[in-house]
Amino acid sequence: MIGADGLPGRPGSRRAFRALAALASVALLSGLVSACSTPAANPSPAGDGGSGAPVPLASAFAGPSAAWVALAMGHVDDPRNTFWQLFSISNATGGWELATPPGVASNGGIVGSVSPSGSVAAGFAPALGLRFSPLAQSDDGGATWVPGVLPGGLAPVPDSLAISSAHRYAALIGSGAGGEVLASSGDLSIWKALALTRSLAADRPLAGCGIQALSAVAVTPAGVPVVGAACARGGRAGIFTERNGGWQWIGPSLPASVPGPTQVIRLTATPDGATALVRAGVGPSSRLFGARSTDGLATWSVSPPVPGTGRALVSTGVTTAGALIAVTQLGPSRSAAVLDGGGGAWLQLAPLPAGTVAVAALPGGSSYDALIVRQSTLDVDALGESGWRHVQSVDVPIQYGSSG
Amino acid sequence: MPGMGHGLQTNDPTIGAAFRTALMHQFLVIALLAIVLVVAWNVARTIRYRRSVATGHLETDPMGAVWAEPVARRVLRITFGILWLFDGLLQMQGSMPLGLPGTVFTPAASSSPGWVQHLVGVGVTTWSNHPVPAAAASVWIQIGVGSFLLVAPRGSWSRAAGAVSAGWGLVVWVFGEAFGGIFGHGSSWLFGSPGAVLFYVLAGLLLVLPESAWRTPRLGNYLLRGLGAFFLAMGLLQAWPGRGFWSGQPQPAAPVGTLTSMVRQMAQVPQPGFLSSWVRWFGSFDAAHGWGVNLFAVLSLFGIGLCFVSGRREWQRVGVIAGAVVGVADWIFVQDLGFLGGVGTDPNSMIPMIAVFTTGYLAIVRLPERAGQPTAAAPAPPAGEPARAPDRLSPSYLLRWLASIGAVGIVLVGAAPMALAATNPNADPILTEASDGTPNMVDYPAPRFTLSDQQGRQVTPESFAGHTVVLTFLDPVCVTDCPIIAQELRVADQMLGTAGENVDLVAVADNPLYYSPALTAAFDRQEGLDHLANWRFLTGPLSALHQAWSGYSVQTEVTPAGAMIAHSDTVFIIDRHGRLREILNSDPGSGSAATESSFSVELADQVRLIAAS
Repeated sequence: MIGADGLPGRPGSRRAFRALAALASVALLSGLVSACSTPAANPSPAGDGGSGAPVPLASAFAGPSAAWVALAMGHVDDPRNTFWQLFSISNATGGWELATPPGVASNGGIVGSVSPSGSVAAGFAPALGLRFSPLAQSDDGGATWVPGVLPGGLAPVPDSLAISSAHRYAALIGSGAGGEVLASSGDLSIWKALALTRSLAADRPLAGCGIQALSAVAVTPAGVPVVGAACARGGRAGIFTERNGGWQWIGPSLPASVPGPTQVIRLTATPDGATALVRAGVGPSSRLFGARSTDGLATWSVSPPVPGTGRALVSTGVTTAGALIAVTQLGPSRSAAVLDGGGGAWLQLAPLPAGTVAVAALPGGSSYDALIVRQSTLDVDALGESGWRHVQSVDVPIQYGSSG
Repeated sequence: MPGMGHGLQTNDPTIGAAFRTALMHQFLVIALLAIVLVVAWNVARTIRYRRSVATGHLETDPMGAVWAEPVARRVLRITFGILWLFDGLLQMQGSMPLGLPGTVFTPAASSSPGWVQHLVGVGVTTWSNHPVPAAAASVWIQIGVGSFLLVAPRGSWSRAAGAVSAGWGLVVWVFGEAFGGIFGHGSSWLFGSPGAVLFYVLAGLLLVLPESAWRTPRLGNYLLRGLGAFFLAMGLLQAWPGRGFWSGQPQPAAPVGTLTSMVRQMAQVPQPGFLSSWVRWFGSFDAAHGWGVNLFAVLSLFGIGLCFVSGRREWQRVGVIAGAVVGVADWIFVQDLGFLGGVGTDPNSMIPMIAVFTTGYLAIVRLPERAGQPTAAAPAPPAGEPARAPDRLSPSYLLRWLASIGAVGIVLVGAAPMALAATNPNADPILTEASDGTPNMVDYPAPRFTLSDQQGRQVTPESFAGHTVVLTFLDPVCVTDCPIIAQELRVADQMLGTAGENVDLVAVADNPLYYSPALTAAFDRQEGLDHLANWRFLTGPLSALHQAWSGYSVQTEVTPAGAMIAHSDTVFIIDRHGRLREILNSDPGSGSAATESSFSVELADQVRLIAAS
């Protein structure tokens, strides 16, 4: 080629120019493709990590003379300004009172357990820069607390901490395959390892469960630990206890109508045995069953499923007598169902007030309160013959910004 | 107090003052360089004059006449020279050192793939660690590049200026503009895609081309056709459904269209009232007529693109005029001039883009006279004599040569300190001084305490005789500041190296409820401090803790409702004679990795000084 300047054009320059143009075109095209594509969906904020579906941490539990609830308050869409609170109501006070143990930031969540004698233990789930769990224990209904500590972080499930009347404790730390059951016999700072998720999964008597994760712990009045799990294989609840130096699978069989994995959501020891809330199946078709043992964990009776399908679990509760409470949601409406006995039917309570986070049975189990959170205010509606009526508001002095 | 601290604001006065000081120091170096170059120029002129006197005749300066620069190249060079100068001046804004990473770099990459974010993150980390040298470097590099383009019209110096311009532009395009957002979502020609600085890069590459490239219309044709393809692609992107450009906001409750949303955001940028009212007006217009506005944009882009690729001069002229009109309108009503608001780094894409396609058109219609053709001012050499090489002592050549050296010097004055700083992975201590103030110098005996360490051994200040002690107060169950402070101490210890052999890191439990040895041990394990030989986390009976808190004036307060203990974040340095020498505010507030690193550097520096005193 002859250039306009009369000199032969340089093929090398042209090749370079064309290569540059081709490169620019490819870059532009890739940019166009990228710019036209749909943004990737955000990952689920609450993945289960192969360890069963997420379990709501908000819970109610009860002792002989007081009921307790643990729930999130503050700006719950901002982890640094979400502060979990513990409330209690006793026969003596007659109203709900703030009982959050002081001295620890509660951003990660609070789990609690109360013994038949009324001793209560509370644990703080890890959050932000804190990766182990401080504990607190009270024998006077939350007036004073004795601190303790776990060597790891409590699993984010409502029954990851358990206390017996004899001040024996069990705790579930870690999550998924890294979970571990610990036990303590009095000093909340001294713990010994009882079982690892991996070791239980490899245990031959439990092999039929296909343990994915440990999901609850309890301590019987005799101080025997009981462990709940998420099982990959369906048909039977993953409840295990330590007997004769080894672990035994004592969970009840579930109705065959709901196939798929099972997950123990609540597990609480009672004076005569234990009560458990078990989820069977996955997704919208999953169902919740109650299970109750009143003969020292020898046999179980299993309830029909919680009425309704496709409902999301909002919170759970256990009453003094071992009755179960399940608060579920379908669309904007929330409802509560109560199971008094393992083999009985679920009792559907009146439609819950808007925004109800938890339902607690009052001491003695005679009535129920709906607990509604509005940032720093806890509203309490009591269930009467004509439905729910507002009875109390508790303003909580949340220290916004105190966790960064 | 944990959680009650403050983060660094973009207009932090300490950083602002340091930035101005750095600029002034570098300006003085540049002024010195300018003086040296002026002296050199005068010396050279004197030599030339004496040589002329010695040979008996005064030579005319043939350079200007022989070395006429093609019009298109001159327009391109001068336009981008001025743009770089303007960008350099914009970089002098006080909010640049702290504002750019968080308000420009990171948001630019936010919708891009992970590898782009990672790459940009490297730049963000470097800038955040060394904000003052980085911001000052940007000022002088851009002023230097602009000056270089302006003072070097022809020859290898001019081509070098183009290369420097392209190189720096590429750095800015990658790290500052995240590839102009071309790998992200929602990009549009209207907003500045594929990045203003990409046009600077293109201009630089054009200036690198050999002189012969500008002597024929071929370069202009290639350029306009390439830009035509670009406009067509941008038109396709603009027309692509589902990207929100076809909708405005027909009803108040309806979702806001992409362009309306962008324009409304721009209207909120601090700027003169008349400008914001124009932009707001256009936002309202687009909200009401979003479909029509986008149709106009799409048709304009396709039309301009087709004009450019047509290869016909008259259509190309129409494309240039239309492109300039639409570009200026977009620059005012959508891009809002681009450089307002305190962290605007350039006038966005329209002006450089218009300069590039105008250059393409001029490169077709305003060709230079043929090389080698003698002009009246520069007579051809006599037959048989080779053409004379440029006289390197001629005033114009020498002036431009020295000016080019000066421009390169300006670039180096900015780049060298930044390059030096970038080799240091730790942040500059100025960040800590800005957020926590300077250390408080004291000199009195360290207040007494009697506590126990992890092994149950009793510890008093005398236990550390002969050692320098870094003492702080930490809540073992703190969720925010205390883990950060502990890590800052650990990193400072690493920085001290062998100088830290006689330095002990000591923390005192600072929680009146959670202070048992089991809790301090849990904290040590959590922070990886349990294997650090010179780390001690002291605790003891509550009365002994109260004595220690009181002695060091540490405030500790139990707060209700799930809040952690509120306490002072302070670090004390005790010398080897047991005297308290320095008190540092260690509140990390809502700081960043850079401020944490900065505190470690500051602490290590102070410990080194006190240990050596």
